[in-house]
Parts: sequence; C-alpha cells; structure tokens
Amino acid sequence: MVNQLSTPRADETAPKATPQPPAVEPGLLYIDGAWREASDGGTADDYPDR
Amino acid sequence: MAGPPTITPIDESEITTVAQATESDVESAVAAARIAFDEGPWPGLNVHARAKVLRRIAELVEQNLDELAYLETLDMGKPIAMSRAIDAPMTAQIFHYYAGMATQLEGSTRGGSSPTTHPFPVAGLNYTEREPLGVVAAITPFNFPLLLSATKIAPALAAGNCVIHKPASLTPLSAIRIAQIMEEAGLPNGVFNLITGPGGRVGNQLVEHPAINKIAFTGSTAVGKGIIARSAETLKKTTMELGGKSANIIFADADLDTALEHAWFSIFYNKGEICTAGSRMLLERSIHDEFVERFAARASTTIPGNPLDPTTTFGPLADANQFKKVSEYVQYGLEDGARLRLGGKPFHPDSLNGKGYYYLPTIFTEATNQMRIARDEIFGPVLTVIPFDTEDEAIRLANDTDYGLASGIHTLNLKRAHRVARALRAGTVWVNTYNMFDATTPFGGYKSSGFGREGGPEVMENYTQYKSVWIDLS
Repeated sequence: MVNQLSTPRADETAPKATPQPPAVEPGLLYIDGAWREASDGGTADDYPDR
Repeated sequence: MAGPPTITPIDESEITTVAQATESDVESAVAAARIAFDEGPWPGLNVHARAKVLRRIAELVEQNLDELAYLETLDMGKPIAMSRAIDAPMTAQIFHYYAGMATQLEGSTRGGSSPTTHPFPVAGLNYTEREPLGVVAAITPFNFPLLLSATKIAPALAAGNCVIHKPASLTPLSAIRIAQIMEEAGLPNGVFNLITGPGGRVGNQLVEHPAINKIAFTGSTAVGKGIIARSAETLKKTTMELGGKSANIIFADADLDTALEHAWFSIFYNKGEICTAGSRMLLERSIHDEFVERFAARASTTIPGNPLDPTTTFGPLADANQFKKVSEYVQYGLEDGARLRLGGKPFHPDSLNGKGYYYLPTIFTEATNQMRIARDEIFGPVLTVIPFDTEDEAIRLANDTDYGLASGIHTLNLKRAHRVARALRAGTVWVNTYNMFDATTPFGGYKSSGFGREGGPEVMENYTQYKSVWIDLS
C-alpha cells in the first residue's frame, strides 16, 4: 500500500515541515476511546462534501 | 473496510488508504458518544478539569504544528507556509480560547421570580442553568480541515457535549492526527469519536440519527439545505456555515496600494477555496482601468507551485472536481460575455510532469452582477470585476446576491466606512483589510450563507441550552 505518511516526499523542501508518521494506521476509526478497523459492507457512494 | 486511496492534489499520487465507516461503525460511534454523555463523567465534570483537558489538547497541537501543517498541505494543497503559519497555530489558539470558555458558562436569576399570575401566592426563585446539548456531530469541509474542525469540536467539548467528527472524505488526515491528540490528552472514552467515510452514507446516517442532538456543518449551501431537511425529522439543532459570493468594494478614495494587496489575499488566499473569498471586486469606475491594470500585473506574478515548497503562495486546487468546476465557470464567464483578463487555464509546474490540479489566478472584467461568474460560488481563484459609480450603487450590487457571508470595504473616509459596513447584509465586514479571523470573534453568515456563529463567546449559544428552574420559597 502506498503510504506517503510514512515516506515523506522526496521533493519536499519545506525546512520547517518535518513530518513524523502517525503512530496509528490511518485506516482506522476512533470510537469509544479505541482505534478499530471499519467493519465490512460499506460502499463509496460519496457526494461532494466540501 | 478500506476505501479508495486518498489522493494528493500536488501530483495526483496516492497518499494512503483511509477507513470507510459502515452503518454499524456509525452506530457504534453514536452509542459510545451517547453513553459517554448520558452516563459518563464529562458533562458534569468540574469545569476546571474540563478546561485542563482542552488546554492539554491545545498544547499537543502546538507540539505538533509541523506535522499537522504537513498533513494539511499534503491532503488539500494549501501552501505549507500558510498551513504552518495560519491553520495549525490557529487550531491551537481555538482550543486554548475555549478551554477558558469552559469556566465562563453562566446562568442568571430573573426578576419575575414572584409571579402575580400564579393561582397560589408564591414567593419564588427562578434561575437559569446552561447545559450541554448532548451528542454533537461535526461535519467538516476540505478547505480548512483543521481550523473548521476546531471551531466546532472545541466549543462543543468546552460546554460538556460529546462529539462525533466526520471530516470531509477528501481530507481526513489531519482529523486522524487530531483524534490521536484527543486520546493523548486524556478525554474519557466516547467523548470524542472519529469516523471517516463518504458523506453520502456516513454523513446522512449521522444527520438522521435520533440519538444525535446537533449537527455542526460547514460546506456548500446545497449540502447544508439537504442536512437541514434530513435533520428535521428528529428536530436537531443545526448550525450552518455555508457558501458565499462576497463583494470586496474598492472606492477611489482608498489607499490603493493597500487595497491591492488585500484584494489579492481576498480572492487568491487558499487558491480561492475559502467561503469568504472576495470573488466579486466592486471597483469605482474612476479608478477601474488603472487598478485592474495594476491588479492583473500583481496577480500575474502569482505562479502556482508545489505547496510543500515554503516559497509557494498558491498551490493546486483540492481535487479533480474542484479543477473541473473552476474550468467550467471560466467557460461560463466567456459564454456570458465577460472579458478574460488573466489566467483562465491550467498550469503545469515544471517539476511535476503535468500532474496536479494547478490553475492560474483568473480575472474577468467587463462583467455584470447577473452573470453566472458573479452569482454562483465558484470556490476557486476566479475574480469577477464589476464597476460602480456611486456609494449607493456599490451597496446595492454588494447586497444583490443570495449569499451574505462576508464583505470588504476599502476607503479612507471614516464615515463612509461605517456607513457602508452598516448597510451591507453580511455576517462579517472587513474595512481596509480582508480575511482577518480570530478565535475570539464570531463568524457566520446572513441569508443563504447559513446561520449560527462560530468563534467568540457567541458560539456557546449553539452548544448549550438553558434550563429554567423555579423554586417556591413561600
């Protein structure tokens, strides 16, 4: 899986931007004080929400 | 389930994959927040203890400014110089400010506490208490993911509510990092919950859910109307921070050098992806040609570039849909007879091999207030210049819009500044400046730009309710 959060971009030149990879995998939800995977069954029927 | 990858607008490459919450996940989040509110310690917590947690959140944001700014820029393309100087530190300020507000919620006693209309003779005492609403769903937009989350989450928590945050599916990364910070700050379980996923499913489920008490939304007017309609069945309280088509009025008696710079900032800040964008420049006819000439020259030096470069002032549009919309409106401007004075086309930075959603700053002149580029919120770097002859005409043109979010006035005439500010039907008016914001100041719209306020003490009205208590003392 591509994950630019843990592999900062090669062309990044911002001297102040020193990203640290988040300690938690972004593919998780935070519910009731715990990080958990989404359950199956969803679809990606998005509409534009700015 | 894992959803489609999030894409950076910088070069259209994949960033990562974010969870797509399902119906069952939303139910879990709502149940957790409901239990945390109904049975947990947070709503009744000593206000100093609640303030302390909010201050801790602010401190953790401050300790992670660089990372938060990076995530924001990577996700939506705003220049890192701005996300580092504005978005990330202002997010911390907002949590600091509402930490203080947690201790400032006051009730009152009322003069009518011995009513003469009661059938029994009573000596009464009446007082009011301010209580939290319950469970708040914060549905936040892609253009200021951090800031416009903080403006909802911080006051909601300060008042003792529990929160479910649903960030825009386009820009979830900083929201995930904020959730980590919430956890680290020591919020009790269930007080804050983050669910990511498509608005069409996750958002609607939240809006319709009977166990949620309030929806705080920032986004387009069209989506806001849909939320209001869907939430009506369960009589939810809502606050709506919606779209705009703001007029930036420049009088001939203005300091034109200053007006020029603020006009740039009004429309090209955040690539025009800001609800307050001064997308209609109303320009006094006597200075029209000269000012347009100077402004176009100034804007022509704004070259879109990689927003991770700290010297970049203008990045890519947030995604392909934004790019398409801006392109379409440029075509509408041409079809409607306006003159394209600058830009009006994509731009490809040399280092990115034609990738990314870059679009040149665009200026239309010889336009009327009835054209689509003057009526509709484009949400991009497209300026429509409209001339006027008198102060009254400027006011009429400025108010001739469905929206009423913000407006700018540039004049050195003090009386005129106050007079026009009072006449404008907009929630915010800037005089000889533009796009000034602060956590202490209320912000929100008139007309189709929404209702409710974010910022300042006024926002607490949107996250609390009054309870009136009567006691018979006789």
